[in-house]
Amino acid sequence: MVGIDLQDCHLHLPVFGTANRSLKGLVLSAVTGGRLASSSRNVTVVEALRDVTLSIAPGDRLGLLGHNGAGKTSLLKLMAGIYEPTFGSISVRGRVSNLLDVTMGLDFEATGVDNVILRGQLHGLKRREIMARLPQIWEFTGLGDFMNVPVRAYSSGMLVRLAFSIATSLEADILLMDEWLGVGDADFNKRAEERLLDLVKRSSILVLASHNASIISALCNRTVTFSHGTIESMAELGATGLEGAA
Amino acid sequence: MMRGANARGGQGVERLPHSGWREQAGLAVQDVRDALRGHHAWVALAWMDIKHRYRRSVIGPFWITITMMVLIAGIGTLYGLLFRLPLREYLPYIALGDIVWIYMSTAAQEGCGAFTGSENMIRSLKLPFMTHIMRAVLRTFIVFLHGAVAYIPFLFILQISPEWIWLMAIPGVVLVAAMTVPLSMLLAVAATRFRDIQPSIANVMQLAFFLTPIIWKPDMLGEHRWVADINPFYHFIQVVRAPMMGEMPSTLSYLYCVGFILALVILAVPVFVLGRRKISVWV
Repeated sequence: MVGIDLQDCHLHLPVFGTANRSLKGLVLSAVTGGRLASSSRNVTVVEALRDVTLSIAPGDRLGLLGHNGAGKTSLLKLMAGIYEPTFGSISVRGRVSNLLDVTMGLDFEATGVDNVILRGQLHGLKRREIMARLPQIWEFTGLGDFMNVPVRAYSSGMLVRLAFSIATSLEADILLMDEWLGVGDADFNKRAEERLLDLVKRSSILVLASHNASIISALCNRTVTFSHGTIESMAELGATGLEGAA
Repeated sequence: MMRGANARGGQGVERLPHSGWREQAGLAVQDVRDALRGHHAWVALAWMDIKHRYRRSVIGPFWITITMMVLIAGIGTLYGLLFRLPLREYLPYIALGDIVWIYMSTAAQEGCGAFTGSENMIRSLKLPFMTHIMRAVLRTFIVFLHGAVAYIPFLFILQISPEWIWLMAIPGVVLVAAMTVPLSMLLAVAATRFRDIQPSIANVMQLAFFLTPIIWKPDMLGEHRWVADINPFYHFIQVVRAPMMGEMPSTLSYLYCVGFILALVILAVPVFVLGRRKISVWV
């Protein structure tokens, strides 16, 4: 069954200075008995998440709240499988679609079409399956002939259009989002909004981090507030307006 | 509503099953299995890398071939004259040795950059880490094949006709290619954590080039021949070069290659198992 379970999860992110990541630091600290260069051995570690236990079931639309640096994005990256917990365990069951940073992972030297194919292949789709979806993605981007131009020639708005269209064309049970995606111009924005809502309705679980309270209350039926990497509070909201529509 | 599971206390750092050796080994095996199952991902990425490197160039990746031909013609004739060796015998020797050498040294370099070069992708997409390694391994192999083509014109110029024994070079190439997999695994993880490894490897390989019988022959060492015989690179070159020169590589060379691959695997596996889950925070 689709679901996400985190059990006592800790996530430590090392921050490497230039000195810390070199062998010299390690060798020197060994030679000097850890005295002279002892500081270079101590890598600064950010405790991004501390003792997080959370269980997300099908039908949950979870909103993540908290200040900048409270741990929302770290949690999303943990759920996306990009990070693994330093301690604790996590289990994620179901196909995950991560809309954390849609433009990342685009290849700037490749054309729009090539990027669609590449992303599909990374997602584990066969070329045939991707080709079947290509026209629909192409149409949604509204980029026309620009799809045959290398992505590096795109304007930033076009880039987001392409990335958004690719990322939202993959079916998933679990949808991870860092901020509600605002995209491109007014015309595209409206279509994008509809598409996102549709995607949210079809997915079984949504986890959305946002600073925008109205978006959270419109889309989510549960919230978790983070503070300094730990869960500060949890709350159940009523059914979302969306649920009724679906 | 309950307040998470904070009862345990903030500093609770007891090791839970997820961080155990056995679980990590299982996850590493899963990673490799997923990468092999999703092979079209790294095949596509490797080809894309090759295409991009030469996008907008008219002859594309055949620049690799041309560069190799120029190199062979240059150092082949120069050292042939210096050593006063017949070109028909010496040029194939240095050409084949160099082609295999460049393959191995590129594999080491590209292996070091397997993760650091895909930083964006690692930080935003969940892919098996082995996928990034195989991308580098395959890319290097494709470059090697383009380089190997450079040998063909010299066959015509020197009027060398093919022999059946040349086919024995195929298992040789397979051995070299097999070696690049654990080599890349080991270096990719280590060089992501310690950024001095990549430049160190570049220097080590530079030195190793002169210590390996590529431009010179092991017999020239006389009583110091053992210097060549203990060098694993020599044996990897031999299993490809010897058959192409009409000789059967010695059993010792094959054993040495297999042994070196096993040694690399023994080193690479624990490094990959323990380092894997930290790669995305190290890049």
